[in-house]
Amino acid sequence: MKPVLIVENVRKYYGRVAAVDGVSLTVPEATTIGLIGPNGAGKTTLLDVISGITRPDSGSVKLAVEGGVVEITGKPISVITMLGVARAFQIPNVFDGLSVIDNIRTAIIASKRLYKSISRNYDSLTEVDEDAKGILELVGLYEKKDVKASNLSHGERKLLDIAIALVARPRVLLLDEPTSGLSALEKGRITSIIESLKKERIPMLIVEHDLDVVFSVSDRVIAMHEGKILVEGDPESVKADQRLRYAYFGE
Amino acid sequence: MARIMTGVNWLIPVFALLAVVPLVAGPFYSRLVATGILYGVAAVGFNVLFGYTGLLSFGHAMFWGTGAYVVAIGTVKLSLGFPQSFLLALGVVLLLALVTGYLSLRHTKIYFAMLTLAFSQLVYAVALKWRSVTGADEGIYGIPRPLGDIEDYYYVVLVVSFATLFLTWKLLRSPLGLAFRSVRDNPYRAEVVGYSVNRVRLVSFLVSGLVTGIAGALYSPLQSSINPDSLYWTFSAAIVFMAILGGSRVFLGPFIGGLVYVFIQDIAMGLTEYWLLITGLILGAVIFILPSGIVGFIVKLAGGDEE
Repeated sequence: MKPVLIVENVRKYYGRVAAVDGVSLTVPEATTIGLIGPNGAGKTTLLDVISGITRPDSGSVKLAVEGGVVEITGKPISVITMLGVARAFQIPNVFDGLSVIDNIRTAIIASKRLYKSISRNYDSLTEVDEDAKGILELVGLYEKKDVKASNLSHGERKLLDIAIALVARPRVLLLDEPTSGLSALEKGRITSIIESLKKERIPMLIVEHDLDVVFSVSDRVIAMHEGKILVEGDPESVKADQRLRYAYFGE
Repeated sequence: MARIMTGVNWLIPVFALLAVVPLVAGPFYSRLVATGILYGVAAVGFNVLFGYTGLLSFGHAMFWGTGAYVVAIGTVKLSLGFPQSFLLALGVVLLLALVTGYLSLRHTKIYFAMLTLAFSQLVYAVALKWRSVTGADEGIYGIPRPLGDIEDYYYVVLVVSFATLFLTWKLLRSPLGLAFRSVRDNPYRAEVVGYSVNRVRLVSFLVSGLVTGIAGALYSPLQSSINPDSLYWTFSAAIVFMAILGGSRVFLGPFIGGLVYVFIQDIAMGLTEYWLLITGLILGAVIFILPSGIVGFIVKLAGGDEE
C-alpha cells in the first residue's frame, strides 16, 4: 500500500544519549501502526520529531500529499499540522478556559483558516458547528459541549484532546498513549473510536503501553528499545518474539 | 449560558447612562467622566492583549500617549483639522504597534512585559527630548477641541468610544477572537491545531494598541493640552490597574475599571498628595477581596459565567 508518512533514519540526541537512534518506518494508507516499548525507548520523542515539536539531529520525515511527497522535517509545527499531521497527547492538551465545543470550534477554525472572517461570530458558523457536533458525538462528549474544559474529568479531557486532533481530517493521526490513566470503560470507548477511525481509513501511529489495546487495534506493531527498532511485524509475530520480553523484563 | 455584562446588549444601557451626564452635570464632571470613558477604552484595548490573548503589556502608555501627541501635533503644529489629525494618529499608532509588537513578541511572559516597558520608555524619552515637535517637558498647549465646549465634545468622545467598544467586541466574538483565547489558554496546543501563534499574537497586539491609541487621540483635545506624563510608565501601570480593578475576564470590566479609576484618582488627589498610596492600597484590596474585579464579581454574584 502507498506510504503516507515516511520516517527515514531519524536520530535525536539529548546530550550524549540517543533518544531516537536511526529509526526508519513508514505508515501506509489506511493502516494502523502500534508503537510499543519500555519507558525511555524513544517513542514520544519520535512523535515529537514527526509533528515538528522536536527537530531531529539527522534524518528526515516525509508526508505524501496531493501531487507528491513533501519533506516536513524542521517545518514549523503549525505548517506540519496544516499539511495533515494531527496529534493527540499523552497528558491531555486542551484549551482549559474554553467550553468543550469551543475547543473543537477553534481547532476547526484553525484548520479551515476561518479566523479571517472577522465579520462573523465564531459561534454562529453553521458549517463549523455541524462538524463539531459530529466529532463530539463520535467521542461521546456532545452532552457536555457547554462545560468548561477545566471542569472535565481526566478521561473526558483525553477524549477531548483526541477530538481536537480529529477535526483536520488528518492524513495521518499520531496518538500518544490514548488510554493511559483511563478506566476500563473509558479505555473501551477509546478503542471503539480507534476502530471507527480505522473504518474511515485514517492512517494512525499509536504509541501505547496497554499491549492488549495495541495488539487488538494495530495492523502492524513496531517495538522500540533504547532508541532503536527492536522488532517489527504483524501483531501475532511481534507478540511471540522473545526479544520483546527481554526489552520489557530483561529476562 | 448567562452572558451578563459580557454581551453587547450591555453597551446600550451604559451608553444611555453616560449620555445623560453632560445634561445633569457641569463641565467639571463632564470632563471627569469623559476622561473616565477614555481611560476605560484604553483599558479595554489593553485587555484585548491581556485578558483575551494572555500577554501582559507594561507599555500601553506609548499607544495612548502617541495617539494624544499626534493629534496635538497635527492640530497645533501642522494646522490640520481634527479628523485628519485623528486618522494620522491611528496610522502612527498602528505603525508603532507593528514595530514594537514584532520585536516584543519574540518573548512572552515577564520578558515581553519588560520589552514593552522598554519601548514605551523610549517613546517617552523621544517626547521629552524632541523639543521642536513635542514641546519637551512642557508638552503642547492650546489643542483645539472639536465642537468647542466640553459638554459638546463629550458626545464625540462618547460616540467614538462606543463605536470602538462595539467593534472591539465584534472582533472578540469573531473566529479571530476565539483564536486569541485559544492562544491565551494553550499556545502550544494552538500551534499544534494549526495557528501561527506568533501571528495571532501580533494581530492582537495591533488591535490592542490601536484601541488604546484611539482613546489617547480623543484625550488631548479633551484636556486641550498634553505632556510627557501621558507616556510615562506609571500610566502604563494605571492601565493595568484599571483592567484588574474592573475585571479582565469580562469584556466591559476594564471599561468600568477606567471609569471607577478616574473617580478614585479624583477623590484621592483631593485628600492627599500621596494619592498614589491610596490607589495602591485599593488595588491591593481589590486583588485580595475581588480577584475577578468589580464587574467579574457582579457577574459571579448574579450566577453568570465570565466571558
